[in-house]
Amino acid sequence: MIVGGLVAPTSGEVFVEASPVSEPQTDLGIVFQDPVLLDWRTSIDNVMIQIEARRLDRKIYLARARQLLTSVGLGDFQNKYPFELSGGMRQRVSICRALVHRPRLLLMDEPFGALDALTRDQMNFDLQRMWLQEPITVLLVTHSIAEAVFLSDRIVVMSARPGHVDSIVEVDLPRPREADIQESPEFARYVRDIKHRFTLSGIIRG
Amino acid sequence: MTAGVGKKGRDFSNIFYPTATIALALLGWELMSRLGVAPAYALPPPREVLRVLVDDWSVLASNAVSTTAVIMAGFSLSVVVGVALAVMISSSRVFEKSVYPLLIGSQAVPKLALAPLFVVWFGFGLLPKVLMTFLIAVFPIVVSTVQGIASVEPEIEFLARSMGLGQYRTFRMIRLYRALPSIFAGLKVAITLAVVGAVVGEFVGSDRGLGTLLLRAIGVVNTPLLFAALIVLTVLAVVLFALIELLERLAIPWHVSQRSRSA
Repeated sequence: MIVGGLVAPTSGEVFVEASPVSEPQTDLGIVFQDPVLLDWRTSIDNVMIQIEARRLDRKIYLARARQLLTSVGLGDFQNKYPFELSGGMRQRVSICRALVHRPRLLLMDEPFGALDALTRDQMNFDLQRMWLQEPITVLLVTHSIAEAVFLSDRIVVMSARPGHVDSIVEVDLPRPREADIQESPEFARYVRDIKHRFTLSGIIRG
Repeated sequence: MTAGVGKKGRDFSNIFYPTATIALALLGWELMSRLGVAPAYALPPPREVLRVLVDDWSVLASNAVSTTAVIMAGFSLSVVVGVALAVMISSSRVFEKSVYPLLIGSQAVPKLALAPLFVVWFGFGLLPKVLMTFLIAVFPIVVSTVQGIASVEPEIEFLARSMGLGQYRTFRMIRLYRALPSIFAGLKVAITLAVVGAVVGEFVGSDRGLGTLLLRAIGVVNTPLLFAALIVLTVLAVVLFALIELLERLAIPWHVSQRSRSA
């Protein structure tokens, strides 16, 4: 929220590409835990609202919107309304909406928190796949250590309230990360390391 | 008889139950009048009322048209003014704090008491009746519209901001649609009240309309005519309500309240 300029920081400063953040940022895409889709619009129209809001050329971006939806497996659901979609599908539409205008930055606030475990795992793979096709800087907030290790190049571990930066962990696992990497000893080491930091800072009490 | 599931079953239920209930009520009515439960001037037999409905249908119809005109005029006015007021209340704290309490307080005043005053001010004619209708119908519209606009989650705000939408466009593209279900709820209440308002207005200052007809019927204790006029009025109210529901179906087919019927 703070990076997006939507909420003011209590102290300190935030820089996006070396310019300070002082007001709502618009060159980014945001995905919330709730998909926040507009009930009266179809999937494709929900994605396109990003374009309409910014008064960009509809025709040019319509093709991109269709392609994005197809790439997440919703090609046949373009004209469906949100109530006809499952939670995971809605969140995928939300992600497409966040990416359609080619922003510099993608902010995700616990995007998969409301989904069941299996869908969540699937979404992790889908997100990585999309990201590999179109690399973009992603700031992901998550409570799942495994999710963080699987997806990230760099993990910022936060402390307990008042939240501040506890430590930064560079994740040096090769890409693309397959499903079985979650079983590898390197992966486990990262997870253990972060869990340990949480125990030290008192977030997890064993 | 059982009501089945599925569309056929539902269609059957939709027709059977109301018809059966009305038929039963008519039977009960006929029975009561035959048994002499109440004197004929208080409870006329159904066939008397039917006779009036058939014989005097043109009188009933022309008065119904007159009342309908008043209802539509007053209702339309209350929609326009009501929604406008609600939008202003939602956008401006100052406006909200100064106008809303007055609006609520004004509802406490019994409109029937105001009606003669309107006649004094505006004479007999369309205006006092439309004004009466408007005053009664506007409140539920304001309240439900304000409610609808207010119940928008904060994430929508964040989303709109992040897309670069200003207040006006956020309202036009998002908030207004989100508020529609609430607004329609208010419209449904308002149309029913508009019927009441129009009749009340006619009671006090009019020479035509179903309300006037009702008064005249009471005056000469022509109970069959009274019943007939009431029936026409009821049918009118039901038809108008159904019209609003139809509008709602067309306007917000995506809303959860519209889905359970067709799914």
